[in-house]
Amino acid sequence: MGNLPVKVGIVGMGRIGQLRRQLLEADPRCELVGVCDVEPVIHSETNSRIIMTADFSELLVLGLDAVFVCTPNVVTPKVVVEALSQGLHVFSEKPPGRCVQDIERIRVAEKAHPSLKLKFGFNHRYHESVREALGIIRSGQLGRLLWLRGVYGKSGGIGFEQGWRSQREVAGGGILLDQGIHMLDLFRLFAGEFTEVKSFVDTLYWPVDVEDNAFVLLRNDSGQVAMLHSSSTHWKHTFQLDLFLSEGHLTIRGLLTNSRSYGRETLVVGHRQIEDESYAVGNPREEIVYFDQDVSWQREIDEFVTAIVEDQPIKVGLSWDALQVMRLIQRIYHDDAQWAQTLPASEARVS
Amino acid sequence: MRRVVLTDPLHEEEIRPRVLFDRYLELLTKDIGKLLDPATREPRHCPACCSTDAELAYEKFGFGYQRCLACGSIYVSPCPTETQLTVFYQQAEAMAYWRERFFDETTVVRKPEVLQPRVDWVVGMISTYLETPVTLLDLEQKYPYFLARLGETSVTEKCYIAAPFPGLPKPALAQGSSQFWESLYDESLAIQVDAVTAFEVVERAVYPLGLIQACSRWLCPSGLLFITSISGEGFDVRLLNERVRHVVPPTHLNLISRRGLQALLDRTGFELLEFSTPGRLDVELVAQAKAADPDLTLPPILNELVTSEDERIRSGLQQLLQRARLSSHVRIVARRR
Repeated sequence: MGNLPVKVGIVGMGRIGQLRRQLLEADPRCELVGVCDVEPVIHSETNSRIIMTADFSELLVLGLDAVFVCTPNVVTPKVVVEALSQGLHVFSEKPPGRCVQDIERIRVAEKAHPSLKLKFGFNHRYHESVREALGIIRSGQLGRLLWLRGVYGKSGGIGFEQGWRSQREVAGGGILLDQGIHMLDLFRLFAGEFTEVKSFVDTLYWPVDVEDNAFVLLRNDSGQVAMLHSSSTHWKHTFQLDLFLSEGHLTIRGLLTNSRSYGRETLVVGHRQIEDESYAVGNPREEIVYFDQDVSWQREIDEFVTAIVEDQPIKVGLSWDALQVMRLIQRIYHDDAQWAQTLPASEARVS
Repeated sequence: MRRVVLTDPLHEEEIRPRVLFDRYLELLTKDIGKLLDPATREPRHCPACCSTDAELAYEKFGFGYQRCLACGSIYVSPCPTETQLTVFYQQAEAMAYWRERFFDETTVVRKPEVLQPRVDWVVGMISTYLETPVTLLDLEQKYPYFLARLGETSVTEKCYIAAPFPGLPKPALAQGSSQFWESLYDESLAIQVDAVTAFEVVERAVYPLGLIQACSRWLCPSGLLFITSISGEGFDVRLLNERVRHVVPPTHLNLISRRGLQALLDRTGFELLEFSTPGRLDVELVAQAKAADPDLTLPPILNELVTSEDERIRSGLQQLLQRARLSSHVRIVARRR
């Protein structure tokens, strides 16, 4: 059992950083020692016990046990590597940087410090609907997985073009890297690694230098096919993942988020009926499960803190998962020949 | 917490054909007169929250159904004793008729519409919340099909069967299966299981608290308790009271409300993971009762909805009741703390 409380700091106090802070302050095993942000928001800090700084290297030497990295993609690898080098456990938001080389660099630092915990925030795996769908698939009651289809889309708002997520220099990629990465992570969760990639990647509407739409087809060695549409021109916010199996289907629709804009989180469980083809109505027995609470963020932090306190291995959000999903994204970008021409030369290599 | 909505239709006539059910009620009435002497019944408090504050909601077959003013549960009081009920369940012709005739003739519908969904529900929740395979205790094994189908999955490795009430006869165990008969209330028993299924049991218990306490003793920490029952807050029960044909004494002594169930689970060390009311018959039952009884008065807007000629309106209302947890058919999953 490690020493309590776990002393933590947060780098990046944007929306996600604030959310992490609330949860860390509610966890009796943790003590928030300091926060770091380049924006003046930190100057409104009212808790005098919490140290504020605009320089993350100052934060890392405050005797912390762990740091939460909630920064723009261009900064993330640098902070993660530095924190690991200082002997700190690291929780980093996704994506782990702007490109595959970034996560490779992080993994080198991780390997040099094997006793430290490193976890990435692939938060969607903790949603109730996802956990339950995984449980049903693993039970075998719906047979074997045949194919998957995911739609994850949002509508950019006023100022969307100016945000850091819309700037290739800072973000490295657009909606696919920012939001589609979650759906790709879930595809990997349910179907493993994909070996074939087809894609159309484009900027269809927004005046930005990153993609606002990605249409992706993937296939793994078992022949399971996954389709993804990741979009920031999806004027109605949408999250939907269909999993079709030999004996039925599962549809995760909506996602409990703070804004509630993705709709009520539901899991539809359908059982295939054996029908006479002449009279098939294609209307299987369905059960709709509604979920009332989003406990995904608590679960995610709980696993990280427990791993530190009890010296247990990280189970979800490994650097391997981060590497594999970044490799997949790189292949998606490169499969579209036109889009590949827009990529920087440093990202030309496809792993 | 999760809640479940079922979308495909089901009709009363499919699972409780009128001719068969009328015969069951006829036998039941005779059995009650023969085996459950009103003079020996005992008054009781609310079986869910223990409140003594109650009013008579209605009477049916000579039994008074009280409405608890604290938690909204409906319960029979004065109530037959456990000893009387043991004799009743052993000797009542109606019970034998249900097991041997009624269930047999409705099994073709009950299997896909009631029992298989129950299997899917239990398998899904166990696979999500527990390490499999698990050991499971089923109370009474009212429907052997359930355990047989469960045994075909990779989710359970051993099943115990226990009588939910003292004195119930031992059921026939499936040959060659990993099924064992045990006593629910044997406190010296060293067995612990990962999951307990209590289908249609809570409503029959004279002491639901004791029943759930016994389930808690059987369960290991984080083990799951599955319950199906009837709620006193359900749409048809609230509107129809004694006119709900399928709610009859002594098989329905308790129609516990959501608050009542929560109180029972709190007192026995459980946390709720699911509270659903996935009933599909409330609207149809109210419509049928209205058609059969001109004296039944419904609020005009409800009358219009439940008797609408548009099937989508009726099914939409039924699904709304499920979403609002206001159907009378309740199912819950609770985890032992």
